[in-house]
Amino acid sequence: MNDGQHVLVVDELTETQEVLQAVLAPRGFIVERAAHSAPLTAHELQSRPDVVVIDADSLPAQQTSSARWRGVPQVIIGAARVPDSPLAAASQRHLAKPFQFPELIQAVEQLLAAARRD
Amino acid sequence: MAAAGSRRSPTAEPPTSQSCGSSIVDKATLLVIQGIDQGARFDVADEPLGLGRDVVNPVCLHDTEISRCHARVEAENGNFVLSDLNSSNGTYVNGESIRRRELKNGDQIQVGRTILLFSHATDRAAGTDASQRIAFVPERDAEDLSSIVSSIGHEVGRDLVTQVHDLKPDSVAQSLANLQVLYRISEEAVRHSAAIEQVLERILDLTIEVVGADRGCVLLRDVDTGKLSPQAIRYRRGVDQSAPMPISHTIINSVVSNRKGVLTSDAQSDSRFTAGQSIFQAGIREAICVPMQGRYELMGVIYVDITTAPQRVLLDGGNISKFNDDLLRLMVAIGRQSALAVEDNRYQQALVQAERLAAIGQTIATLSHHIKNILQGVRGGSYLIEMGLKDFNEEVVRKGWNIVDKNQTKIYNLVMDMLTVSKERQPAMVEADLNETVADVCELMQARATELDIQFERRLADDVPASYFDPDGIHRAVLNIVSNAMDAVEGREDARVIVSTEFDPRGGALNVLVSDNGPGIPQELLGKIFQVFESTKGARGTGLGLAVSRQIIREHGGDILVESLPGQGSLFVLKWQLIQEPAPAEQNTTA
Repeated sequence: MNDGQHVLVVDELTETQEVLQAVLAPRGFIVERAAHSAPLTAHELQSRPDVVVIDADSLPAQQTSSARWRGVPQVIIGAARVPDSPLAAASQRHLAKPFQFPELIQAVEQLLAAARRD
Repeated sequence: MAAAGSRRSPTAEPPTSQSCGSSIVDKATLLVIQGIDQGARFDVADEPLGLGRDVVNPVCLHDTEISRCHARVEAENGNFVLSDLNSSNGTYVNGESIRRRELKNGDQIQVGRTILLFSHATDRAAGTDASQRIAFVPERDAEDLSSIVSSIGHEVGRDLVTQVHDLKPDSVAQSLANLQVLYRISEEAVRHSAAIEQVLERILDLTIEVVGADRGCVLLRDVDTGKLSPQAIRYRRGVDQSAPMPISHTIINSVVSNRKGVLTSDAQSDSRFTAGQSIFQAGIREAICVPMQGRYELMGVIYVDITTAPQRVLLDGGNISKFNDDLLRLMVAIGRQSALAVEDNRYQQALVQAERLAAIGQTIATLSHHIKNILQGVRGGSYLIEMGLKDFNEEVVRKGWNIVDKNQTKIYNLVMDMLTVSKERQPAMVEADLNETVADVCELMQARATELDIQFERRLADDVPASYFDPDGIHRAVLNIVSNAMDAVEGREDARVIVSTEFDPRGGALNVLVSDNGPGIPQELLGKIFQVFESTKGARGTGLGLAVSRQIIREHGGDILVESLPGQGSLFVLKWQLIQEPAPAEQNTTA
């Protein structure tokens, strides 16, 4: 079941969240957005997302691997690809800009499916 | 920034300074090398060119210590003359206060806190010109009768004034004169100049004057090939410039190989006096050729010559010599100074080139980043449109279209901002109502304010008079600031943006004020916010908006003032002088 599975898009621009919402919301997923610069709301802090999509291009490097998202499956979007490690491969996907949206949707769906199995 | 320039009038007198006589179109420019407008360049042509703070001046400067109509440059008998127009703070040329002064290439003009470099070059390639005026005499050529009379190593030049063994008044006076020449050459070498050819020409003029040569040329060594090629040639006033200057390969090769300056003469062959008497027909030609030894390598050679007329030779029985070892020693020292000047110029050029490449790299990287984000948005919108069309879902199609449309606007704004930043344009001044322009901006932004739940107020003053300004430019400037204010308050519960207009009748100024209650700008960032590609908005900002707004307001002779308190919000004041009469150009057009 998809109900209640939560995707958080951490991005200052709105387009990625808008597309994911249009695709995933009709299937029962919740898609929200948090801007880098804005502090997380109490709701965001309490409701741990099942997958977080991070636009790393405009985010300081230390924040992409911050404790805030440790343990949460991540799709990291950015200009540079991070070298894959066996540990990260299971819970991280990397997309270099510009990417095609089916790639992003597929990555998010895979991580959500893995989260459901866990 | 380049003011409209025009070619020299055909009726103008030819230049009176020493020149090579080829068809030359004079080209002069003013480059701001210090001050608020640093980097701005203005062409100087036949039309009188006003300098001042007022926008009616072709050279409109934004330094508040400059008078509205401060000074004027005008062409006069082939030269350019700078006149102060009773300015409050005066006009200075090379540090001297002036009322009126003929400008020379390399002069520095100071008005207020702004320094402009005057360059008056000729519209020809100096190197090409020099090449056409030189005839190389091949090695072992039968016509080349010159032989080396004496030679001095390049290191001797260093001792020219440091070791005065002979304390006779004449020797001391000569040493002082030499010192003065070297000082003048050093001064020329460090003057701001656009091209090395100009520096070399000035050095040659001084050299010709001090050694009494007829003509001189500089051959520089190509960095890649090592070959010597003529870069500059100059003549003493009155010397015939029609015949090419012969330069002996034998002599040059000797100087380059041995790193020694040589004095040569074609009067050494006694056989010529006895046999053909040709020396009495052609005169005696002496030459000095010295190496230009830089810090690490040979940069080139300087070659000067003089020809004594046959009649003079005849009168003196062939026993005549104008060049001597003292002059050779002086020339060796000049060669060293010139080499250092060339080296410094090349280092400077390399540094400028490196900085330029770094700036280009940064610009490309920043623009690529923005374009990539926009492309990503377009792809997202297109994906939704495709999905909606496939599923016959109009709502999804509309969502996709909105994203595409938003990104289309972003790319339009990016392109327009880039165009505005890339070159200064003349504002299209027309009589207009400022309140109308600001109201247009407010109407355009109202939808966004509603969408973001921002309390958006406009307070337009009733007493703002109609005036001359560029409505499109001001619209763009105000729109950028209002858009920034909305970005700053986005997400706040009590978000508020206020736009107001004011007329200050005492100062004769128009103000547009934009205030917000956003997070404010940290003090350490306030000095940077107007710099190109500096953005506090992360991925949402291009770093061009504020730079563009300030440029537009400055084109109107005004500026943007900012007050900001972290945690309390920001106030941007766009301020410029009220203009109620059209500029002369517009008056003419109207007439």
